Amino acid sequence: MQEHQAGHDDEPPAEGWPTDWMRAVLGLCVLRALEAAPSYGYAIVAELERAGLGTVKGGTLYPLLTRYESAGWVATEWKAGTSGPGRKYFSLTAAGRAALAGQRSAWDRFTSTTLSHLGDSGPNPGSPAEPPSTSPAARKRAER
Amino acid sequence: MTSAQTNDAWIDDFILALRLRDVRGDAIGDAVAVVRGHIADSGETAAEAFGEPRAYAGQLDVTTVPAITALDPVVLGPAVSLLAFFAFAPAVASVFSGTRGEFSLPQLLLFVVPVALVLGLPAYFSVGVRHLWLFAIAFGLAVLSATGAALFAPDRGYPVLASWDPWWVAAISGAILLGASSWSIVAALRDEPDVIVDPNGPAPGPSPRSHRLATVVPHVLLPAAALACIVGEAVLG
Repeated sequence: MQEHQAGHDDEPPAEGWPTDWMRAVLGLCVLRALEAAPSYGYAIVAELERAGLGTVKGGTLYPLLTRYESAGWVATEWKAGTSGPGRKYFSLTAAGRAALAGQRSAWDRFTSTTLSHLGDSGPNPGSPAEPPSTSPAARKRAER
Repeated sequence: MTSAQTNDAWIDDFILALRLRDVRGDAIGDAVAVVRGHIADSGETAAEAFGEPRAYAGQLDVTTVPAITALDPVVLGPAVSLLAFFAFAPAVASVFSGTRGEFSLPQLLLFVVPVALVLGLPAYFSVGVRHLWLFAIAFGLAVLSATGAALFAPDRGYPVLASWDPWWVAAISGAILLGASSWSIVAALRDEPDVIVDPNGPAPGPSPRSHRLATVVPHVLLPAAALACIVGEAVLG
């Protein structure tokens, strides 16, 4: 993994980020791309690329967006294109914003925990961060 | 092949894959418009952007319609009509020749084969579309068993299992044939066709008369064949 850290901080490595990592964060990053304003597929791809996440293919992006649409996290609207075919715009619903806030907070704690564990001097001896309360394990603990 | 032709071929495969997943026409139109918009924006081919059409179609979370089963009027109607026709055709021949309507056991069992193939169509349709030889085998099997049944008729020395007054058999099977065909025709006309709707185009109007006629034609073939039997026996008898 060390070789992935080489180069510019926000540049993906030449071979791209590991697929497993991208799979884990893509949903969260797509929600983030829609946070400021409604957007369409290729603009989302371009924004993720600008953010240093590499090129996301349409075949990966749209299935994710259809799942979010079914879950009620995004709403859609077709707008006529000035030249060429129309574009399908995706916007965050209130449920989508709540999901983004929850996932962002959980991801922040997860990366803090991971960075702390990966620190130069080995694992942090302090108490580990609590996993997000939405996890099944946390729910079981709370029920007890 | 140009990239436009390649994209059109990809989209045809994609539409077929979505249809076989029982995705609704408006959802198919939406998914196709997304593909067209994305490849126009990115400059990629559809295959570069979306990969294999069947795999991509399987990943989309889209609205589907209830799958057709063997109990659907469009399947059960023709199957019942076919079974009735197998009784009607020899009964009409017996009426005109003045003999009794007689059937042997192997003859009746062979009549069941084409009916089972029609009833089972929803189970093997999606595989058959991709492997057309499967349909050819099913069709050949249906024709062979239906025509082969004549080789096992009692007049060829096989024991009689059922013997009826041909007038009654012709009347009852003819009524069933007409009833089942009418039922499937009404069902075919009642259901609005699930057309593919382009979200950027005008809303679809009512389906044209030619389309509605085309949905009826398969259901009138057996009653027409039954009528041809009567005319044929009367003229050539």
